[in-house]
Amino acid sequence: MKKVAAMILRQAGRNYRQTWGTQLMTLMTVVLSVLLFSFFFLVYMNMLRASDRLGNDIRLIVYLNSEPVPELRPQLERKIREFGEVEKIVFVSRQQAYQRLSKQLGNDRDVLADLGSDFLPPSIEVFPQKTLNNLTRIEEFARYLRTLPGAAKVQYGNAWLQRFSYFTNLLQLIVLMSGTLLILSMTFIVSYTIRLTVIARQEELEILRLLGASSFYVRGPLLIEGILQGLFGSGLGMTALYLLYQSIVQKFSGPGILSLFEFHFFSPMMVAIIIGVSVLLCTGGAIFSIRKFLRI
Amino acid sequence: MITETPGRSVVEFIKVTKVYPPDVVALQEVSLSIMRGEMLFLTGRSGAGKTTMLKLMCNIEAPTNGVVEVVGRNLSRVRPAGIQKMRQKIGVAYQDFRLLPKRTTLENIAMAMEVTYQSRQTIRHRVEELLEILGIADKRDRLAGKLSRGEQQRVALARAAANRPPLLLADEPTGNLDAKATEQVATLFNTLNAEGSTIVVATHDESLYRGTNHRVLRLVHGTLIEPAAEKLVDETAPALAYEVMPVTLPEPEETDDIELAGEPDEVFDLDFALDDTAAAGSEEEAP
Repeated sequence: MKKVAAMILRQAGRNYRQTWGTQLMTLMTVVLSVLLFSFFFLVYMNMLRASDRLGNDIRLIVYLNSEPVPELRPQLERKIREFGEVEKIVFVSRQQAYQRLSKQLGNDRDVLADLGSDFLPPSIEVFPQKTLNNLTRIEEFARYLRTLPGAAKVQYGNAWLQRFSYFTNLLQLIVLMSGTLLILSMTFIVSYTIRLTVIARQEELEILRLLGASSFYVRGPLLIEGILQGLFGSGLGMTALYLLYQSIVQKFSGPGILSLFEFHFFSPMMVAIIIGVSVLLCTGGAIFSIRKFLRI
Repeated sequence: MITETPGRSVVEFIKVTKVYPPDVVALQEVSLSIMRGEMLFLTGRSGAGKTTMLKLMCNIEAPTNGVVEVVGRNLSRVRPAGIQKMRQKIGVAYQDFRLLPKRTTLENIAMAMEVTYQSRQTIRHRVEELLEILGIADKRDRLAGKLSRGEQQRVALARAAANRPPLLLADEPTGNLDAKATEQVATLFNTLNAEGSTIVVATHDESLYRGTNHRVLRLVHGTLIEPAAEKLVDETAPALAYEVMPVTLPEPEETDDIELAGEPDEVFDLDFALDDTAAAGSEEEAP
């Protein structure tokens, strides 16, 4: 077994030496594909994490025309909960709203002196459950809240949420596109390289056939070629991404957008999955070429 | 014409006809038994069918009609995996050498042993030995493409002999060699034969078989001639004139259907030099 493995590896080494130019180009293509995909995927993952955190802070404020009488409150609460996915409901009276504003203004609370304590509208603060993270559902919920008796206006930072949602959707599209590019480039380029190897070694393969070389002896090195392309290509791609990530983190450390988003690198498991999938794709490309172009 | 010798046969030709498209007859109803441990010389003019016979023996070509058996197995009924294993045990020195010009002498010879997964040490030892016998030890690291025709021919022979094959086929092995090199080749054949290999040499180099005790058969226009019948054939007639004669042959038998044949295949027991229990014609598979 050891002898067989040594022989197959030696053959694979010969293949590399014989077509090193093409092999290098393929390796670079695999590296770039992995880098491109994993970069967008990393940004997307961080955006998802950020949106998850933002989701915890989402609340819908229903401003009321008048203070609801205590008997009406349970009815309002029941009606709100009918929509489902509601975590918490808080009634804020004019007085409470005034106190909050006053607290927020701190030393500048004097500006409120002439206004009186009842100029702010009463409101209901609705905290949805974390499951309500879809912009369309939030909008639907806001429309529903507007139908409540005495509701004047519903506020939930919709403009900002909308922009964030659009950006996440765009990023999702880019990740899908770069993922498709990754799959196509890896399988096609590796398959093409193996095909070139087969063509370059046609004479040798014919002699090997006449000498009684087994199918495994001929196919094994080509398969290993594909596996190594995937392994080294994705390994180098991930290393390049990590270096890029490190330099970005160092460059933008301190207060700024990155500190707001808390940028993280992939977990070791995710790195292993990306490398594993790359190896599988390259092996698939190799198998395709071996089956299609190798006649032995 | 049937040439028969009693005993265990390694190769059997039973009324073998080979026609190359469109209608060039290379062999016509040739029947022949080659016995275990025999050294046989196939002679005849160029185009007589010597190379075709060797190609049929190692299954590079299939007969148009008739049966070719190696150790009792009909080659046309053997699966590809069986053919592959069989080829590991048949050393073939091709007339056109079939060497890789960008590989060294050593690497070219080693190829035959690498496909059988032999250790580097064994390969190196055997290759050195063969280079010594064939007088090309000083060329071991030279690229095959840079060697002379005679040297290339010896490299091809060394590759064929590398695995000490139970059956060695050599096609014009001395075509480009001087007297000394021819002697070296003859020594290699004799050594292998003494070790138990069956050797079939296609040649028109008379010096290789002159005065030999081994069997010498002559092919004339695709027909095997027994020495006694030789004088009946006008060999001076141009070979091509015979070969291009249109012939009508029966449709070749369907031989691809291995499953229907119901024969075991995959491995040939060609290790007769080592294993005396293996009888010719046996359907037993080697381990």
